[in-house]
Amino acid sequence: MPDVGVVEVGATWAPAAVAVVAGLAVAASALDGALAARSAGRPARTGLSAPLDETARLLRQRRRVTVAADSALWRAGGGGLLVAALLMVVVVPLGRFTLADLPVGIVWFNAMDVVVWAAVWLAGWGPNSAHALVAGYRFLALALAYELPLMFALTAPAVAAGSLRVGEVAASQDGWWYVVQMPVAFLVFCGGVVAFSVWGPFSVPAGADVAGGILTELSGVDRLLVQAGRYALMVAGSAFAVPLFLGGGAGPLMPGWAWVLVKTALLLAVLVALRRRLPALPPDRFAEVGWLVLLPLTLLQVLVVAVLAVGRG
Amino acid sequence: MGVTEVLAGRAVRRAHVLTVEVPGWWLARARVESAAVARGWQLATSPADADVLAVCGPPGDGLAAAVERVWQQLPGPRARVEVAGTDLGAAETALTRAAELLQTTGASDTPADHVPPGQHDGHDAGHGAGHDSAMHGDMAPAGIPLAEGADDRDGLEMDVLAVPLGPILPCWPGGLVLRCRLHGDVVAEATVDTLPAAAAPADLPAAATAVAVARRHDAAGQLLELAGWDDAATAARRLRDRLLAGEAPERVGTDAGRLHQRVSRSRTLRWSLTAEVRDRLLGMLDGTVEAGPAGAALEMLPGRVAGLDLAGVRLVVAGLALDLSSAAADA
Repeated sequence: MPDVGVVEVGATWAPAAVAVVAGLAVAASALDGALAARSAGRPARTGLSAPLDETARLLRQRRRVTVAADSALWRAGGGGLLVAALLMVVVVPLGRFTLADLPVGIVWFNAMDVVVWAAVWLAGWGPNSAHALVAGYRFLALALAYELPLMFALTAPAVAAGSLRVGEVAASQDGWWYVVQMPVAFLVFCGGVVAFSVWGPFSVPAGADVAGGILTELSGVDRLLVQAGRYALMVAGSAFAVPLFLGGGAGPLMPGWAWVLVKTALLLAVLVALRRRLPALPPDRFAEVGWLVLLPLTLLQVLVVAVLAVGRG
Repeated sequence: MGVTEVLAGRAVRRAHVLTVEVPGWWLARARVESAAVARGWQLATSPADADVLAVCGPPGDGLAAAVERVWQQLPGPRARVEVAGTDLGAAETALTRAAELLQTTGASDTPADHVPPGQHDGHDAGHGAGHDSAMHGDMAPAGIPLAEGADDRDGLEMDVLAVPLGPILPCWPGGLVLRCRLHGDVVAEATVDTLPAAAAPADLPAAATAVAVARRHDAAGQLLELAGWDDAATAARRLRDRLLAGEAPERVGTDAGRLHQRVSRSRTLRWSLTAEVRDRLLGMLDGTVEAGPAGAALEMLPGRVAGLDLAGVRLVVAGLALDLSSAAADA
């Protein structure tokens, strides 16, 4: 195994990783609050306290039970988003340090994003409510369209680096970040992150036309968990894009870990802002795009990357 | 000051308001939305999401009963306020009162979990058809009869869900109830019901043109919200609020044109909306479509929504921009 300089730190550092994810999630929520305030004609700074106020509101609000709810699965689904996000972050190296330097780190990330399928669907199934259930199935329809392109987008950097180890993929981008070499894979990956975070153009499962969808019947701390989970997933996805496409900790002056954080924050900000720009994509129509446009494009991307990799020998 | 008060203070800064639009009282609802957004409050999407229930106008008996059931579904701490006028002052007074109630309401307020089935107006559904309520012991878990089956539009046997849309549903015409029988999320058939107001607003503003233009933008905002484009919806509501605040339509014109341009240029919207709905939306923004009395549109509604999925139904209904003030009065 080549020495790529990734050091596995002990599990005692896990709380620190959680704190970093939480910090970035709060920042993302504050940014969204500020953008929302600005578009509503109020000063942007008045929206910055959105995460604090909303958390206080939801901590104060009571939990709620619906008739014949499948409570266990409902709660599992709601908490599952946050758990999946944290498990994704486990394999992301922060500069030289990582919690788990898995030989199949990329597959691990992919497995966790499939866990999100179950979590969102269960959040829709649990409350025994028509709107939530419809929303759960809407997510599955979206997922059927975005997941395969996302999987192949994840494959591209792995093929180029000849490794599924996230640290090695980051180290193999010597001065030539994969975002330049494989822009299609990068864009599809970002789309996938937005989709599994149920955000912006992919927020139909939480849409106004189904009264909030998976959120319809959620209140109090249960709602807080789901909302925090959505932001955390977006954080985890942005963080994972850094070693995969954005050169990992590479950058001048600052140490590697700082560059990873900066790059993550920048990508996260772009994804958060995307919500203002685009209307929602209906799942039935998006399926066509996913299978007929994105999937062939990503396959082509992997082909190009593979030919280049073979050419390099 | 204890932790509870600090938490309450923070929470009230971002209260979520669920509005109930009584037919004919759209203006009161628009004022509440405007006053809420000005405070940094949010518009709730469902009873579970709401801290404040703002009843805009005096509901008739049927609507009042629905309000009562939805009130039972608010998780609490919660506040219910009535908005008795269509001016901004009435809305602001009501929300100030709601803020006070929320701040002080604590453990004394009893929440209602376990709402009995069939009492979830607009947001939840009892399984099966309403008229077939015979209980069959284990066949009716939690008192809800199991769903019946029926052939869907493709000839597959599907469970049938009876789901009422409205009367209390955001971005939905006040007083309208669409009782749908769903196969999956596709509406197989629907019947229309209207719940009247107890009285019409007495203080309608005189500047009729500006109000009509504001009304169009209100309808466009609802349609954009349903299409999942919050930002454009917010822009439409801002235009509405400026018109209602007394700005001349000519002065608002430039920004209205900008919004029209932004919406008409959106390739996503052109692709995601049906041509009919998109034309209605653009018409609302440029003035070729007016919100009008429901009458004939209401009679044709069941035929128009049959075979559409829930998203399609919501968009079609919002595109009609129904005004039920007269229809509900006849009923």
